[in-house]
Amino acid sequence: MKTTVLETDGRLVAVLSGELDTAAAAETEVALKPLFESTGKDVVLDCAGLEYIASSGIRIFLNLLKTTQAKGNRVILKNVNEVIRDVLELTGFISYFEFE
Amino acid sequence: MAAFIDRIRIFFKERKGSRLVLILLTALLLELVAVLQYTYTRNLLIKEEERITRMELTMESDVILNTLEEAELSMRENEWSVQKSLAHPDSLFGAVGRMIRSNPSVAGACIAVLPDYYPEKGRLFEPYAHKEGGRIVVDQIAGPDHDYTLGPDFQRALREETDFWSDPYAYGTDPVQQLTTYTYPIWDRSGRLAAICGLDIDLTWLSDTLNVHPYYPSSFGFMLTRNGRLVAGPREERVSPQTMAYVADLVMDPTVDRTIRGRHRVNCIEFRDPVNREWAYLDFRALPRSPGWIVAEVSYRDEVLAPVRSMMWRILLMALAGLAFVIFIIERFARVGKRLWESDVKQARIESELRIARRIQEEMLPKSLLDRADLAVQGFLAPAKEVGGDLFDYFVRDEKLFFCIGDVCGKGIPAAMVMAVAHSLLRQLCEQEEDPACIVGKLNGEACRNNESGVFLTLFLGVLDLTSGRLRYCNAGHEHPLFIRDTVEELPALANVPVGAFNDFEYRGQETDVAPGAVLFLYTDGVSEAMDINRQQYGRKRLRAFLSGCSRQPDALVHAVGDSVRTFVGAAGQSDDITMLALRYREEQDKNR
Repeated sequence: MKTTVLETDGRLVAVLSGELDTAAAAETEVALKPLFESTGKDVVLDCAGLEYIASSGIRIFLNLLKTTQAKGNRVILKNVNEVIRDVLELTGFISYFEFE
Repeated sequence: MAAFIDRIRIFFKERKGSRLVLILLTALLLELVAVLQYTYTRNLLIKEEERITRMELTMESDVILNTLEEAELSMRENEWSVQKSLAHPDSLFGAVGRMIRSNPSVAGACIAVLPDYYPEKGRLFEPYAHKEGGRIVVDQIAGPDHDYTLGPDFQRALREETDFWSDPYAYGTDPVQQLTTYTYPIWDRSGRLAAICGLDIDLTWLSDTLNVHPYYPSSFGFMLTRNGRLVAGPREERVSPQTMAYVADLVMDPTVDRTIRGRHRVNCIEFRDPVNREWAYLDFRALPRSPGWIVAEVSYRDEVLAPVRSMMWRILLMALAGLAFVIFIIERFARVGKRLWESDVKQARIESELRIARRIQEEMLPKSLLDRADLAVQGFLAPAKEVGGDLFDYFVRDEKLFFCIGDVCGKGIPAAMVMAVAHSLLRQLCEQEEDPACIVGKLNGEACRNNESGVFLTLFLGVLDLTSGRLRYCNAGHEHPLFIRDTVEELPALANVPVGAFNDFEYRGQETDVAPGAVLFLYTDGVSEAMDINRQQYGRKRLRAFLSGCSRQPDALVHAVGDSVRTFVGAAGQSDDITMLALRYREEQDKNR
């Protein structure tokens, strides 16, 4: 699991690649800290390289969503593949996120 | 390795005591080595002192003997010339001059003629030669004020009629000379004792020669006559007369303990200087021939052993350093051992607590197959770690089967704790309510309270009316259950979010009829997302295909799926909790068939 955070067009973008399973969840949460701590910026999770997500990973997405929305900003999921979209659909979280 | 750790553990069980004993033993050993080394070096140094002293005494004796022998040789060489000159008294002046010139250490020479030997020269006649300011002066010195016949050496020569050496004596003033006289009787051609010759040998240099000691700065040498009279020694500034008198007495006192060593019979006496209270070694030997003078040397023990003293500090420092090192190693080893032991104990405790937690968790689950005439239910739960975050449950109340399956996000202890709370809450709620959506909604309300970490659980809750076969259910983000009839199909489920995600979420329930003989199969993603070593997932497709060809008996079914998944993952091993619940509902006619 690899996480890179960068800023483009005034948005914080986290590029995720690999498998976000329970074992990788803790380190990913740490890597995403800048996104959790940002204010006044929309947050983008680029999932182009994300192959798999476990419920622990979904939890991080959900926490990021709650934190960011509480500050009046948006969380946008980008390049989400079928597998991950499937998980989001199943859990009903899909309607909470915006997609690009 | 385990055996080794066990040994460390046993060793450090009473580790404080063992450590102390080990340190003391090491200290003792180092001390012993230091003592041995000290003793060895000390003995070596004392032997060295003996060797040096023996060598010096030998050298000094040889120098003295050489001087004496050279003088004797000179005398014998001149014997003939003296004898010949006896015929003419005045020619004895020439003879005495030759005697003094024969040898540089000869300070003076005389020929004392026996009384009345030359009637023309009166009763006494003694030609005498001596050095005066580099010149040789020859005189006749006998007279009323110098009657040589009264001299002890002269009388002894008459008595013994043989040659001999006198003990050294001081002669003259400014400078005082130490002289010794070689007395030699001369017979004329008629065989009559005619004269007594004397050669005065200067021994003034002896005191200096005996006191050149490069080895030990305070050592000193001296020479005694056979009777113990001091005739050569260090200056008074260096050694007090009291010390000199004391050592001279020691040499002469045969009752004093002494060791006698070597061919030259060197005596050694250990004594304590009466002036400076220092211990010292007194070595001495007598000349191996007449006049039997005694050469001696004193060395102070402090100086002899000085090298071992400075070495002792080094040895002591080294021993201390060694001890410090050993203590460091032991302490370090003890700390590591203790840590190993403690972490082992901790590990064992955690493991045992986890085993208890697992048992509690297992006991919360329905234990036996629910097997009624119209119903069979079987659950299956295999946690990936000691405790898991999955749950299933079922029970019958008022002819209604309450059943559920759930999956807390994450694994291990945190997930298990959330699961335990959720499970007991769920049980309580199911006692009061019958509407699955309402139960899940209330559970969600509780779960969202103080849920800082955002932990959620997916849950499927169903309530099956066993009289009507009507199933009411609510799916909160869980894997859709599968309906196994002629085909395997997903139970349609609304996309409710998992429990604990959003406080204000409105859960919606659904209803369906359960056909007679149908099997409802519920599972967690531990089944569908089980991975093999190539990280390929077991998958829903494979699961459905497997189920279609599988037994319809719930207990056989769950175990068959469990085996299938285990076979699939192979060497990769179980990575997530695997949980299943299978139920088969039968109508009356089904039972009669």
